[in-house]
Amino acid sequence: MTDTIAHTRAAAAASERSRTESAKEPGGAAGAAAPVADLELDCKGLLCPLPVYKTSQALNRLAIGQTLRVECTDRGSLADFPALARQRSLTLLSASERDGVQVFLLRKEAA
Amino acid sequence: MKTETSGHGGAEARGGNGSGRRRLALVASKGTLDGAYPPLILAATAASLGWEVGIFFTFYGLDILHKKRHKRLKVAPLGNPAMPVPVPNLVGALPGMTAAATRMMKGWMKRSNMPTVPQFLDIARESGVKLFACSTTMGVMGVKETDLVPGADIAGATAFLDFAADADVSLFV
Repeated sequence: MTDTIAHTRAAAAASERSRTESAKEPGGAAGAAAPVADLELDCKGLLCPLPVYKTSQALNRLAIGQTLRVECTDRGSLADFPALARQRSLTLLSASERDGVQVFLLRKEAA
Repeated sequence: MKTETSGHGGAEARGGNGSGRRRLALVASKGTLDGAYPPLILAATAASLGWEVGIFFTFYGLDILHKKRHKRLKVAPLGNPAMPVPVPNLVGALPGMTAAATRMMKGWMKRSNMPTVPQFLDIARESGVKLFACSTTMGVMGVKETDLVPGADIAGATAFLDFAADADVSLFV
């Protein structure tokens, strides 16, 4: 399990953020560089409820407006992360799956 | 792939219990290894979504809160046609078969990085899940307060129903 706070990439994240939001098909750009986030969470190899639980804990460490990138290998996460975003104050900026790995980019919003 | 989530299903409209949060009320009635996981998984998930969660542990389900017994919960092959190793059902009655099935299930859980039952209870406590220990069960089965894991609240059905009355989701597991 590796949580990496990438403070130094905050500026890059900001520009990435606007780019991702303006894209009509988020996550659809296969082969594009991975979006840069304020915090990254590796949930590969974990099953429900651990990806959502660990994401929830990570969100508590983020400020409003910051982004979190989560990688999962639980097929159910494709349904779970949009639901998580609805249930908490989050925007799911992108969701994609490639080679059995689901990648989500979330932004924490004001409650 | 859906990306924007605002305005979907009125998710920001919160439950009607006055706390501004949705509420999940579960009854955990099974004292088996396979019966312990579903309520604990649902509780951990709901708490992660920011919901209030309470679980009423009653009858054999109280074993999940029992400091010693919850480490020894078992899965029985007898009368369980879902067991993955297709042995004739009666073979499941032989000595050692329940222990074998339990070892097998614990092995799956470990390989899948799933927390153990005690670890799930730690997650529940850290997430603020209310753990109601059924006082009637304690009386009937001779369970003492000191037998229970820390954080368990001894309560009767009335206290649980008072909590569940304002729940958005209620499940008997």
